[in-house]
Amino acid sequence: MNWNDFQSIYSLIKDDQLCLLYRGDFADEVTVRLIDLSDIQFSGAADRVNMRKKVAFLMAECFQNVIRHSEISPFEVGLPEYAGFFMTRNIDGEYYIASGNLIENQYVPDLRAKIENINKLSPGELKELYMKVLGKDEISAKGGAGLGLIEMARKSGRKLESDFRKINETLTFFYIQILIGGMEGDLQESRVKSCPICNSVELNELLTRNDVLMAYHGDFRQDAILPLLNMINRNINNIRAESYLNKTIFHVLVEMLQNIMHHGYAPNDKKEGIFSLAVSDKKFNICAANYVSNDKSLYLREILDSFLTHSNGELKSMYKQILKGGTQNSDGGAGLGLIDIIRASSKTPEYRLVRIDDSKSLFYINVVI
Amino acid sequence: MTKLPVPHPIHLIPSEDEPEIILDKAKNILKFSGTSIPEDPEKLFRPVMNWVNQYLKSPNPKTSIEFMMEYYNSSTARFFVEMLEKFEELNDRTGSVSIIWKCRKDDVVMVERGEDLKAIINLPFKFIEYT
Repeated sequence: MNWNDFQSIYSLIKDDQLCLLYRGDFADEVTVRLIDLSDIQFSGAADRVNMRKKVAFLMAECFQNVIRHSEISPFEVGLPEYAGFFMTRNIDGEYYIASGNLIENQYVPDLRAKIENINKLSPGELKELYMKVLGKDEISAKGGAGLGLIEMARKSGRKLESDFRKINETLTFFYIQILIGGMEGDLQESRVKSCPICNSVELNELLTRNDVLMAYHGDFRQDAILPLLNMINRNINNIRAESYLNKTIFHVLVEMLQNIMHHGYAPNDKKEGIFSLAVSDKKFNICAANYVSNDKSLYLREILDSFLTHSNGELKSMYKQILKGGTQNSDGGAGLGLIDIIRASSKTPEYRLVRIDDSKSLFYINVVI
Repeated sequence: MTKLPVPHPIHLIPSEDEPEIILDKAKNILKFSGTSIPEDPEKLFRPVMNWVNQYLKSPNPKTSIEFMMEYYNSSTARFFVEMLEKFEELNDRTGSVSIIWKCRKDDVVMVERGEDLKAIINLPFKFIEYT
């Protein structure tokens, strides 16, 4: 992702406890991993079992929404940029879940009316409508009776947010977003404004412009990294057949993600970072950013500038030297991971170190493989 | 002469991020396989280093260390070098140590990793490629 768009995304999501954005294939395996990833934010919080179940349920419902409409394949209609979209964000204990997919224009009025109607109803009326629709077994032409929407509204207890972006004479990109609050019935309407649906649309448009397959902002613990790696590994094997190249990508991913885990600035023991993976013309673009303490940032700049001036052959011998000599800096890192990343990239990686405040800087690195 | 204690065998069952490690003096097996991207490499490998230190006090007449790694990260690479350096001393005295590096034929990353190790470690390497 280029630095300008990265900054735009960063400014939208930097205060999130978790932000997971995904565009593309919604195979079962992928959706399970997305739920896993979202789930880690609840680990160790036994008192939030209900919230956890609700979030997982609503995520699955959103996936269903995208999958149900997947007969309009964005690739087949020549609109690959309108791949299915999924988002989950945790902002101060409130969970926002959104999805987006192509629909035919002819279904827009009906869908809009259903959502407007649902938003007018009280919890009691919603239950009544749910039972009525369930009993009637009324299936709309698109295979959905609106039950999913009613369920979403009932579980969230909030109004559904939607957005329709007309693409051409036949197709529209439809967004739906729900909010689940930390405490039921304890939400101020103003809180909804901290993540209006237009933010989600903007995020998807930024991702689309950069061919991003997925982006993650959150805690870089091993149990977050593993589902990420697993999910991406499956995706890259579908995209590119050359297994050795895929292994190289995997390798760069591991080093970039674990770099954040091992060396990120973590005053509260939370290794915060952002990571994104984009694919275009069978080239992979991996971007990672995290905080580093200001005293380390000088050292980081020094070794990166030094590594980046060397040829691949020179880097290889430096790599061996470090491997053998084991010169470790105070942070336990010897720069091996960084050399690996530079050696694997097809063009010189771009990096930035931006001072955020008195104690930390933001380190951004962008690699193409 | 007091008999040196035999180190207890280690058999670490592999996980999504940790390799399978078998260190068994009685059966003469020293083997590392699978994926190694541990969260805390120090915690994973400290017992292994302790075992190796113990083993080197009374090694078997022949020691062959087998690697069949799918993938490992740079901190694991550091550990492998540190461990193999310990065996260099034994081999200098006795010529009894060898490395078997097994990897898939098309796995250029692991083949190259093996070659890198061979270039910096003074031990005989045998490469076995499989399909």
